Amino acid sequence: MQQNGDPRRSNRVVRYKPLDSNANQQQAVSEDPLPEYMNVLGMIFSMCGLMIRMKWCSWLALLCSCISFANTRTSDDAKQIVSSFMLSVSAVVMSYLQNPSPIIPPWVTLLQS
Amino acid sequence: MKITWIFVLLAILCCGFATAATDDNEFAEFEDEFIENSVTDTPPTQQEDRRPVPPIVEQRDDFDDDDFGVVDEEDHEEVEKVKETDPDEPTPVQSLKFTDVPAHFRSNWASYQVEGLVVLVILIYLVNYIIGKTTNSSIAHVVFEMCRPTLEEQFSVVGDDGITELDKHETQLRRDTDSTFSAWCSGRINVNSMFLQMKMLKRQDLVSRVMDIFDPSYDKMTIKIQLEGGNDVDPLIFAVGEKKIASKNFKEMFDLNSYVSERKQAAQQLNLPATWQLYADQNEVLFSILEPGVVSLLKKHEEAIEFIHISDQYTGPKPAEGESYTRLPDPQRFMFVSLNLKSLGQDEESATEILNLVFYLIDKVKKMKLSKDAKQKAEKRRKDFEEAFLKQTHQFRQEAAQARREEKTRERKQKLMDENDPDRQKRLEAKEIKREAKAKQPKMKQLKVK
Repeated sequence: MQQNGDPRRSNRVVRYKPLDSNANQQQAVSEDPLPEYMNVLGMIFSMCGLMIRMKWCSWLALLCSCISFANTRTSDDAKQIVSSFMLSVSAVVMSYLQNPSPIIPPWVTLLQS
Repeated sequence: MKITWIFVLLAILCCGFATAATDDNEFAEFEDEFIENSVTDTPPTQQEDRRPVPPIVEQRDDFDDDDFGVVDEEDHEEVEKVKETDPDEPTPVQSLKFTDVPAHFRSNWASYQVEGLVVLVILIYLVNYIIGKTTNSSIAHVVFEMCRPTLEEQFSVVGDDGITELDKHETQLRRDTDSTFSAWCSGRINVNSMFLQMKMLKRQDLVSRVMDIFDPSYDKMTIKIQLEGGNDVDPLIFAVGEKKIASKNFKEMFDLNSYVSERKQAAQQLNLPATWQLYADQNEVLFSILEPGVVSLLKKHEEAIEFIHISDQYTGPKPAEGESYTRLPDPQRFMFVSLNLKSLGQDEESATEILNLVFYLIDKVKKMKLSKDAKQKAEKRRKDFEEAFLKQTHQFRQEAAQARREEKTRERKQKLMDENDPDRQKRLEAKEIKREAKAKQPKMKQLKVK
């Protein structure tokens, strides 16, 4: 499988197009939509935590933000991740400021019954 | 005189303090009632101590009372009841009821079990993120370093980021995500560009790792090569690879689905691995590409090579069900190679051999010359497919054209309605009537009979 001569041609270089164009971004999203799903889920859980004072929702929002952060693309906007984290952390803080009582673990009710 | 004034002032001050004291104790009468009620609620030990309470009730000062000597009947009855009860008789024990008052979180950390668990999970997730990220990065860089000498031999630019000038360019692997790395290579004969992408396991994501236990997968490397076109290049569509991946691509890719068929007999004839499938638009293409040397290399790296797809009619994946192209997309010449990093990343020699095979195939496809019959057959097949596609989409296109016409007419009528100048409106109306009459006329040529 050896070739003769130098195959390199510096005059035929096609430059790389960065992934910021919309078409490429859409393609990237369709390939792995997990960060987008986690962002939306995190936002829903944060809202539930803030509005309905459901503490477990706030914690789930924080977990969703972590998963979204771990799967984020380098081309993605960092602001989105930061805002997602801020929202979930504020949901946790607000729900415990309102009512500092702990979440009743499900195993307690199981043990009692 | 002065002394009397001082006395008057002192008297006024005293009165003021006295009234202030009574004002502060506005709830005094309720407090008294509360004391009486709480006597019955207190536990027996306290009750015994408080038995002499009734005398206190009796000692109440009438001056403090607001009823001005009017004796409350209820109070009187209660006092009598207390008197009737025998002090030696034991009172029934009443259990205490505690209301659920949330204690401050600093005082009872132990009750925050769920919170502790969630914080622990988040900490484990973050530790796993750091470890997984570094592992993925190190694997990708090791594989890239193995491929780098071969790539630099073949391309004038390796690892382009599209921003830095080519003179100052440094070969580097791009990080797309924490599990995806890529390198763009360009500047070679017969090739426009080569996009090398490594898709690692999502080691940085604990959830994906857990999912991976149930559905195991492995690190992959895909090479997407845009081949140089031209009139002197013969048409071909060819695919070979592992059964699972090849059949999946056959179903998903528009060009494979439209032009090629499986060649079982040829695969047996060429002595390809039993777990592989072979697709091509013509048998001649197969035999000219899969030379004995190529077959032996494919067999040698059977585990590392997953799929090879070469096409002059590449248009991407098939449209989703229910959707269809209204226009046939422009085909491009592409070559795809999917590799398994688990086997590829073991030694540099195998990586070099596989990459050399890929470059050999690129040059082979460019140089390949089909017989006149095979070339005509391939061209005819492409033409037939195009005609069939146009026929199939004729109705769609007609509907689209009709919709466009209707939209235009609606816009014209809207313009006519919005016109303020009556003369202009009349002119536009006449024009519209003329246009409609023309549209209703049969589309036939009128011959003048002399």
